[in-house]
Amino acid sequence: MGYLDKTSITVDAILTKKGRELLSKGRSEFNITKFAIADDEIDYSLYDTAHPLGSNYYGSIIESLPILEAVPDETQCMKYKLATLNSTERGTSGPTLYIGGTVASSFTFSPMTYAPNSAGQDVTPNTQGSTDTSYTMIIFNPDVARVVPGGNNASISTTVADPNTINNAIIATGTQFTVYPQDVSAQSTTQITIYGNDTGVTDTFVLVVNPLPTV
Amino acid sequence: MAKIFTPLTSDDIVQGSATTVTTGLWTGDVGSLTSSMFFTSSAQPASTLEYYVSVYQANPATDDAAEVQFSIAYGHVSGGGAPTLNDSDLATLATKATYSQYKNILLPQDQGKFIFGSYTTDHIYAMTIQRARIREKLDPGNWMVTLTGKSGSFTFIDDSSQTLSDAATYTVSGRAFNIVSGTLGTGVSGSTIHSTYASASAFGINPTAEIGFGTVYPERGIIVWNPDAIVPVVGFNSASGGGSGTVQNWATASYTPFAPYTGSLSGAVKYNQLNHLGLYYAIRDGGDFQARSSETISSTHIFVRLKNKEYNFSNNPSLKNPTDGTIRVPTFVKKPKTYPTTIGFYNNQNELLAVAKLSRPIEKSEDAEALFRTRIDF
Repeated sequence: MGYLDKTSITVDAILTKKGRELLSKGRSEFNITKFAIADDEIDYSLYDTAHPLGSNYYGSIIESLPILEAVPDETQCMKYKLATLNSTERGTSGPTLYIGGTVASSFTFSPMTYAPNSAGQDVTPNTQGSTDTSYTMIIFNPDVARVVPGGNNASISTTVADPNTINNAIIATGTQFTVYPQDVSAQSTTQITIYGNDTGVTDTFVLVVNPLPTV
Repeated sequence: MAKIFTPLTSDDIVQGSATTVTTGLWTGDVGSLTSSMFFTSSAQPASTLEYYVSVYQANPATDDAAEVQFSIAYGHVSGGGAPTLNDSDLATLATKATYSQYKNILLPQDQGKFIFGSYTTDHIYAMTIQRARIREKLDPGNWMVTLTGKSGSFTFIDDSSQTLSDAATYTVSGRAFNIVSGTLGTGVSGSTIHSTYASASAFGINPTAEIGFGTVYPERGIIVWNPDAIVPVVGFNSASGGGSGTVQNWATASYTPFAPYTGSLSGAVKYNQLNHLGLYYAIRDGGDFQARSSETISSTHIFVRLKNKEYNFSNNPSLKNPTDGTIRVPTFVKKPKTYPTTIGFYNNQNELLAVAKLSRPIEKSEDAEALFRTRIDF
């Protein structure tokens, strides 16, 4: 007779900035309804099927990794989400994010130049190998670009503003997005992350915005 | 249908469980202030020093980590020990105001003076623990302070171990416990009432007067001492009275414990006698103040269950070959494995409200399920 595997683990959670903001508005505003799982710090290339001690040790390097503490910035957590997929969806490569017909890993935003009433750049994500009913776009620097989401249940929110940096990210949900340049004084860039809300397929892009040309 | 979110049911969320957490009271959650850890600040303004003295755990003049741990005030019902308005038009009646202040916050409105045992006193020492130290309240039954004077060293605790079950006194300021002689290790020796000291009469205390040492108010973080009891027992130097010219009582006492002076002030300049310093010197010379804070934390527990068929694919880019995008480990195609490190909790708007990290990655395969019990404190 041996000891049973310990399958219940107790961990402490911290509130994100958004969580604190909603909690400050009242307990009813702070309403957790679902969870997701991520493996942000894992490097799967360390899974070693040639480990000299055999199969029990293939994942030992990964499992030995001490994990960093959580941070309250919700845009810096849960980057790479785990998904539940059936065998067909998983296939040999899993689902893949496309932007406007281009595989996301090859997609780049066209540089934009600010002008009053300047046209936006349409971004239409889709997922091959599975289905995402909606997507989330995070614009990390709202001073450089803004977004208008479209499609069913489109919504937009911001992270809690830091009064020192005013760098509150924009988080938009929808099925297609229109990105508009902001009035910048010099060429500026922002990171933009898009992920599927069902499969978790994700990629991050860089958008360059140029200022209004001087005459 | 793919999914990254799993809805939580009412069975998964346990709200409102309360846990009492106790820690060392002093800065850094240290439980004891010892002989080298009692400091006052020469930078404390005279305007506040007339009312109280702040006590630090390190020298505030040289150590940036020095923080106020507690303060000691002296109050007198008719203003003894401080200049009156007859003495100075600018008198603030600091000791009278202090007595009234503590009377108002600690005593019922129909009680005009502090009563310890059956003894009514005109003056008090009040030790107020910094709010940041006590967090929610001073942990009753787990504090002990040593006072040292001419008669030796005496340790004091409260009698909560005797009275918690059936005789705790509930006052307008929460629970109140008597200060008694004893130690945390051995418990109460003697009793609440000073008169049980066999040698009480030797100190000039009436053995039948039931003079209490004082009262502790844990919810307030305030310890009120009866000078008429501790001064003769511990052996504070007798008050010189500030009557020798302009010299203050505390200075003539050579920085040793001294009894409060409450008589009329003499000299061209009428000084506040800073009677509270007498108790500070006794505590400093005693060199041992042990205490704990107590805090009730309300928690929500959420049970996160990962079934064997769930969360079997990672969007982590390292899972795939950079060249062709296929899953890097061929065995993961048929027998997928993932290594969860982070749990995110969301609302219906997909806003991340809380996040929990595991201490190390957990292997998740179709052969095993995982159950995480997460706790969110409020």
